[in-house]
Amino acid sequence: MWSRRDFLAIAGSSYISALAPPAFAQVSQSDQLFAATCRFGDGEFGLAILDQSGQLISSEKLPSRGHDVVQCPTTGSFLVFARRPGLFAALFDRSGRPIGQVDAVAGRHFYGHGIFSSDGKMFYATENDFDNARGIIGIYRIGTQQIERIGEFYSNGIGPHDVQLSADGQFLMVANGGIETHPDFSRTKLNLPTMKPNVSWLHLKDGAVAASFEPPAAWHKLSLRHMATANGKQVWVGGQLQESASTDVPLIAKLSLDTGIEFLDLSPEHQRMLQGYIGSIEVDANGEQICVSSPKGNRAMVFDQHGNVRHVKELADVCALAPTGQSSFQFGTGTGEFGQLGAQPNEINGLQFDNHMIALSAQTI
Amino acid sequence: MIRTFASAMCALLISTSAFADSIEQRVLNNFIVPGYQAFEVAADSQVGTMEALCAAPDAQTLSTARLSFGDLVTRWSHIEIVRLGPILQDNRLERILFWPDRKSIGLKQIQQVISQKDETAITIASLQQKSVAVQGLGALEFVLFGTGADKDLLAAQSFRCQYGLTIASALHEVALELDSEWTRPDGFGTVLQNPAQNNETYRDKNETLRDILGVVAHGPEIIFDTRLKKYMGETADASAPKSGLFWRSGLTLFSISTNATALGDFSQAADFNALLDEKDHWVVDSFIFETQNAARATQVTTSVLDAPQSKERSKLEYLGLVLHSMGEIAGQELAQVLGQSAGFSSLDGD
Repeated sequence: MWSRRDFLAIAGSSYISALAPPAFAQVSQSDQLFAATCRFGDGEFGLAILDQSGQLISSEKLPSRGHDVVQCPTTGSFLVFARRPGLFAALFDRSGRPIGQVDAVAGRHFYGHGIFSSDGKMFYATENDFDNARGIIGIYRIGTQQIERIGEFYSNGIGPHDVQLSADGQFLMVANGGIETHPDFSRTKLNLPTMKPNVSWLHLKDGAVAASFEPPAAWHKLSLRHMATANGKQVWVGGQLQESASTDVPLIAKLSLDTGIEFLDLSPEHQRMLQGYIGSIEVDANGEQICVSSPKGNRAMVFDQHGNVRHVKELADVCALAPTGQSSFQFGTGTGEFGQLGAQPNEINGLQFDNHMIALSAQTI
Repeated sequence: MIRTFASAMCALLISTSAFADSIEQRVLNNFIVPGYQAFEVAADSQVGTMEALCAAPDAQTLSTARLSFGDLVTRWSHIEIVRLGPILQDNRLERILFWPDRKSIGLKQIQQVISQKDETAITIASLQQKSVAVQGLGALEFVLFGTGADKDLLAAQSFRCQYGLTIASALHEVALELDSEWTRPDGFGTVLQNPAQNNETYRDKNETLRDILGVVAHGPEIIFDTRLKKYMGETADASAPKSGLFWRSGLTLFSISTNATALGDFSQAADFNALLDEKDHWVVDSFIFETQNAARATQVTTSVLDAPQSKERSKLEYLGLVLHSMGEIAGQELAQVLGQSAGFSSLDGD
């Protein structure tokens, strides 16, 4: 995890000295920092770095609404992807200073998520080949002076959303949400009667499909969208039902190459709480606790690997989640609340948290 | 007629069984139930006019069938702004209207049904097993107004007419389902009015209000994105007039006008002001005012195919601005005064 000492060492003295005195004092006392996409009080969208108590350390505006944040495992820099159908991915250095922007190439747009390679030299982004209604993984090489898009491969579905990297760095796990969109019609869902979501394991080297798992045909309107993995082998996926919420359709599944897809059988009471919609899913560091959020159901819910619900917290418009070092989860809400599950949240004035956030990790330099 | 009367009785029971007037009751009884019932009546009438056309094809019966299509579109354009509950089940929305048809896949399927005289398209049960694109209003419009319609429909024993009649009958079935799903005692009308912890859809009034607000908050954006954006294009040169919904029948802008008016009607039916301090009534008043501006902006003097590329284009551009304004008023201002403002993840998630 990203500690006070790490941040001070990595950010450098010039950055630290540029911080306002209260922020500097806060960084000095912080054990854990988070990066979250957000909306500011003036209506503009951006990225906020906060400590565990919700003290704003720094913030930057984005060209438009952001979605997910991912951190490079080697350099600590991080990328913010534009919300679909977004046209940018903004790169920040490890202290949160903007250092560049990647624009979507012609005929493609971003879907809001991406992942760095294990060595930090590449990143992969979920994209839309919208004229052909094909999901794409865009491949980007990060150079010292520029980021170059060096290729792409088929995501094995329509509407790829979240993407994760396997523990051995050999596979991308892609949640193909199954929903076709086209910029001509903005975010309109064009194929709901025929949508076919899946989660696919793709070979990193060439995009070849190693495995693909779908929900049963009767649940084909469950758009599998967000994923989390603690060990890179077992993946948890949360779905969003594209019809009226029903307790008959489970929203959460665990997957692995060995065991395939297995849906979690929550009680009708807990299923109702989620309102057919998982906005974010995270796993704690040892893979024992899974946390999901439902901004439509106003709930954050923690359960174990067997689906036993351990904790439910009612929080208006909660979506952003991140595992903390204390086997708990930090949350941010659209109403500006920020805190750790099980503790009293803080209200952050002038900030609304968007769909995702991450706990910043300390990096080996 | 008996069935319609029975439905009306159900609605009456819903309205009188509760002791207080709630926003859920108001939208149900003043907009949703009458809206679906009007659509059902129009679909029933369309079945009748198609039967008459197929039995005695001539200019008069063809004209009557086309006129009743206009009425059906009007009724649908009014109630289609409601995107909650039974319309989202069993592909009902798409079975009534598959739109946008981005790559004209639906159109090609419809043309194929007609050119090949596909017998599976002229019984309701088998039609309902086919692509949603060949069983709704888009298909019926092509049957009545598309290439070859006059020649085909004025001929005796016309396959095209039988196909149109089957589409109308299938639409009527969906309309009956919707009416029933909303009005039966354990239907969605009851679900909407009785939020509770054991209610599968709504646990409290905050959640029902969110969905009711969602109708006016998302409606303007849906109209812009699916009806105006590509049709109008960013410039006249980039416009695509034939991407307009119902351009063959000339109902493109009329349908948009009806959508916008319906959003105002829905707001009035909901009477959001009853939930607000008087100082905040301007928000709802502004929204309704803008719905009137939107409807006025659709009044063009050219054909719908010419409008995006003529001097009337400025009206469409203004319409786009008004729809944006409506979305801001409902999604931001109204949401805020109703205490739903901050929920930008729940109102517009991903």
